[in-house]
Amino acid sequence: MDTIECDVLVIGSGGAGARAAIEANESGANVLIVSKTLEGKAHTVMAEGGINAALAHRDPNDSIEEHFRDTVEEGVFLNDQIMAELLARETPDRVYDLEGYGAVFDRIGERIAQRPFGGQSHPRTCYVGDSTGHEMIMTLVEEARRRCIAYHSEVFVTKLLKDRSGSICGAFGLDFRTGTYKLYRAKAVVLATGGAGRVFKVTSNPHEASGDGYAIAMRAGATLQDMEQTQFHPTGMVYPASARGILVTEAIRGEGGVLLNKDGERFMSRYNPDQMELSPRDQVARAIYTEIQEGRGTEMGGVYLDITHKGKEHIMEKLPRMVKQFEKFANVDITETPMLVAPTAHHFMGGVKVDPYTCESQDISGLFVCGETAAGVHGANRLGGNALAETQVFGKRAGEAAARHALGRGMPECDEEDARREIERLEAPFESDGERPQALIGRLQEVMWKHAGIVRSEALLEEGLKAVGEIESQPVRVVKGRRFNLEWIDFIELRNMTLVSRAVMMSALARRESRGAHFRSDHPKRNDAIGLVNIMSRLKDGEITMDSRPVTITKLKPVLRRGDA
Amino acid sequence: MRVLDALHHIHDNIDGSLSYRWICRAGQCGSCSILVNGKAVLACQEEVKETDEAITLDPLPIFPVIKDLVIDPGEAYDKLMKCEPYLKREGKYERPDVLKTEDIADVKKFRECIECWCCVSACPVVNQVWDDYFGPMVMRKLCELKVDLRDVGERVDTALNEGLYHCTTCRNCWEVCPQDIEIPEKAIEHMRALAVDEGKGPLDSHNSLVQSIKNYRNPWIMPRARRAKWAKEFDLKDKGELMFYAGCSPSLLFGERVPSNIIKILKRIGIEPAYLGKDEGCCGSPLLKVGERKAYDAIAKANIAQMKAAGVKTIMTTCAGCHKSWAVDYKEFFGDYGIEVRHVTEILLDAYKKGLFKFKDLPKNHIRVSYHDPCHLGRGSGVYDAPRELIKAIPGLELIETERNRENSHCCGSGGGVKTGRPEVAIKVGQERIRMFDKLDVEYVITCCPWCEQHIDDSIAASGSCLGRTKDLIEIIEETMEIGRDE
Repeated sequence: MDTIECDVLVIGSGGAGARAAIEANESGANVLIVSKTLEGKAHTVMAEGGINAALAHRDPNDSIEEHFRDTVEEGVFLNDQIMAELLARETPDRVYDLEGYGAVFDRIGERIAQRPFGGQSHPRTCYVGDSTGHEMIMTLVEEARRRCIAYHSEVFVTKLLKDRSGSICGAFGLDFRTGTYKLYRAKAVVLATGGAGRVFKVTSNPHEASGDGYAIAMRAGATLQDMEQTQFHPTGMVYPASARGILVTEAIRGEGGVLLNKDGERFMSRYNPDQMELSPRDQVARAIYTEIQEGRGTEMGGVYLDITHKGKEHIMEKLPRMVKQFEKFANVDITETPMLVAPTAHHFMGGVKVDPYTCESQDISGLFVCGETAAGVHGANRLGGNALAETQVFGKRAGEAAARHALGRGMPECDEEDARREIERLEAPFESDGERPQALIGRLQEVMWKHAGIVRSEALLEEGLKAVGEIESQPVRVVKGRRFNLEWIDFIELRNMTLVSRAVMMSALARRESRGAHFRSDHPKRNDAIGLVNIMSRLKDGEITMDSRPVTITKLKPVLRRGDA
Repeated sequence: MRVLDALHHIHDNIDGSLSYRWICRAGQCGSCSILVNGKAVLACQEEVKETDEAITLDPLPIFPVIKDLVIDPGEAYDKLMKCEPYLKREGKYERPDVLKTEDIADVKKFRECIECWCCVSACPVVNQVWDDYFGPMVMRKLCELKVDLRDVGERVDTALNEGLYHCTTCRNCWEVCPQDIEIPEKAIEHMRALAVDEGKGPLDSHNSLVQSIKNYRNPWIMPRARRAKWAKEFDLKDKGELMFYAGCSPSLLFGERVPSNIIKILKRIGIEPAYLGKDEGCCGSPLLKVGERKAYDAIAKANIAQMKAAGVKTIMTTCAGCHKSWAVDYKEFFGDYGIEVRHVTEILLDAYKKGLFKFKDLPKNHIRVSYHDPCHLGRGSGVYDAPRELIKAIPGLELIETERNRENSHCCGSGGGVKTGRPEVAIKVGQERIRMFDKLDVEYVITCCPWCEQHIDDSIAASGSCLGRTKDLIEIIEETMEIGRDE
């Protein structure tokens, strides 16, 4: 087992992790990034649309206040309003940071261009074509390279380590290239491992999004918040299997695409005849889901999204990436053939409960959490363009605070016994008899999709929890071999995914109303009398315990949105 | 079904120990690059057809293998890092950058790179001398920074140090790039042109070639009139709708047999092309390749004007480099000049299909041969089928394909000014190509390019291979064609 020391250990190399590392380095700390992927391959790379910043380049009436308001209204007043306001206030500076590092945003005149995005009162989304996330992550990687920040790629951190006082003292990981263990000793840890889309059968997320950060933080004693708030995007690809769930952009409906069930009926007229295909995301997702559940979907389990009536030229001009995506992955020419689409799990608004200013976990001193792994900014629903913004604003804050925390103290002591116990846990599936992890992951994803997906109810969730419990109790075996053993990685991920799944289901049970992305068929209405609380979950002696706390409301008093009543 | 689906199926149902790397499954992260049937691809994008009997998967070459299909890309990152792959500003950034859309157009395309390393693993030069040539991905990055108005790094110098003149412009990097980044033309040739502008290029060893083209309108330091010597016996007109552009190397090397054979063949079937004779000049391709853009532009424009003045409707080429100049490069740089360009094999295939000639048996009954796709004719111009169909039509010849053919063909090593500028590199690349032919148990190799022909022979000699002398397809057609229809 190698032991590596640094001031600030950053776990996760996406937009938030990389930004935190840069800031910690800027603050003078010795930083190390540890990541499950190669550098630059994190989920951020898949973000297409853009990053919200009230620069008012397109519309002089836009402002920080408007961005803040849009964020909180879309989040149905479940947001931590301190964090939402910080987001709105600081993203413009963070966008210019990116430009300073070398990012090449699209231009309007000589300035950064902005496009309108769903749910926003002004065009404020800065973009780079339809590959904004790629541009951002390449830029951050380049800045990290300029600073010679070290990356440990393809190391899976499986446990956070604490010293006797309960403060963070490092982390333990498996270098799965070699199959050897690594003990990282650090004065502060930034946790930025993204979300957990992969707990669902259909997701837009990459393979790596198995909720590792939620799980290891929870096991270390951190509180999770709003885990029931999982956003589903209405339209993901249905086939081929490997590309299932990959996003089909909302822009297709924006350009006039219509949704049809297998009988050719434009079914949105039964759900929201006013707004039809451009109804809010959660409504469209539930409508498609209902069509499929009630047998009006296609054989492959989707509905049609048809843009062919717009003509080849128009489609090629407005939606080039979609034309390419369907041609490359599904051999479908969308200018001539309707697409097959179905809802797909997209974003976790919930996560580790953190201090709004420093991103430090409220439970573990020295643990700083940012990006999708942290809760608070988005409330019950996330605006498109706010996820990339969150990575930059809170990545910087976490990195800065982590460096400040680290530079004031000596290297804390780690208990090697913790590492030994963790090795035992990780080695167990080599010795045991049982099921293969990928089979259990498949079962878990089915359960989550059916019981904790787009439409939930007490009965569904109770049943689902039982099923997850059964999966959790199954012994697992993996094939022999230590180098790049995918089954072994699956095993570790499975353990993380079942824990996160339980947190999602128990939080969903606790929220006896429908709000934002969370829809309960047995409580289909928003209910501010009981709903203006954040649902908290903690792990205690292997069991998840629930709690709730009033939402942090600063300036914006809850009002009803159109369609909420 | 994609290759990635197949890998998942194998892993989940057949062999759980199979290792492969994948993350986004959407062509955006560049993690799942592997070789499928010898070609570098992203597994998530590459289709497996139901008709495929079996496909061969390999890890990307040049990298150490961690396990199965998983490689360690560490060295690629190390080489990239040596080139300072980030924006270097003059002083501190003061926001905002004042840039217009047109200022960033070139930069943006280069920034689409997803670091999948397909190009590096497909590069025939990197596969031989990676330490001397950091490869297409790095050159792309250096060119991106060079054309970024904000950057003040010494990018041309770095590129020269890391092997700018090692690239043969074979275009395999572009062929395999999932982001369709045109590295050979937009990065390599562009950087070479900038090197020349800064007085740092081309290489000293290119000087005689460049001066010869400028002074003699051929790269081989031969008097201008010498190129038309082969045509004396034919009495060809210098104006006409079909113009034969013989090119420098066919006209001046190898005893000039290719152009005279072409005319013999065409006369037999009643086609009499025009020919500019001593007024024909170099197409300029070598100048473009080494970065002499100004001289190239002047020569190319004069050539186009000359063809227009001669009333030409179709230009017939034989050399692969000339063909790409006329059919692709001139049109790219100067717009469509309204003249069709066809390779001689395309014209001959048409004539054969019309029944204007047929083939007699070769003296020996059964000969195994292979075909080498010249990069400029194949990937450069899209001519793959005409030569093959003609070879297959010749009785007694059996065409055996190499593991690397057509779009994925392996360069002979001579292009891009490398044979002149870096002969030792050219030979190493050529020897690798010879190893592929040696596996096939063929008697000789057929090609359609004088540079390839010469360099394959040089590489055979350097390898101690038993392959026979390389032949231009024209030579074989001339020997084996027969006039007259079957009754």
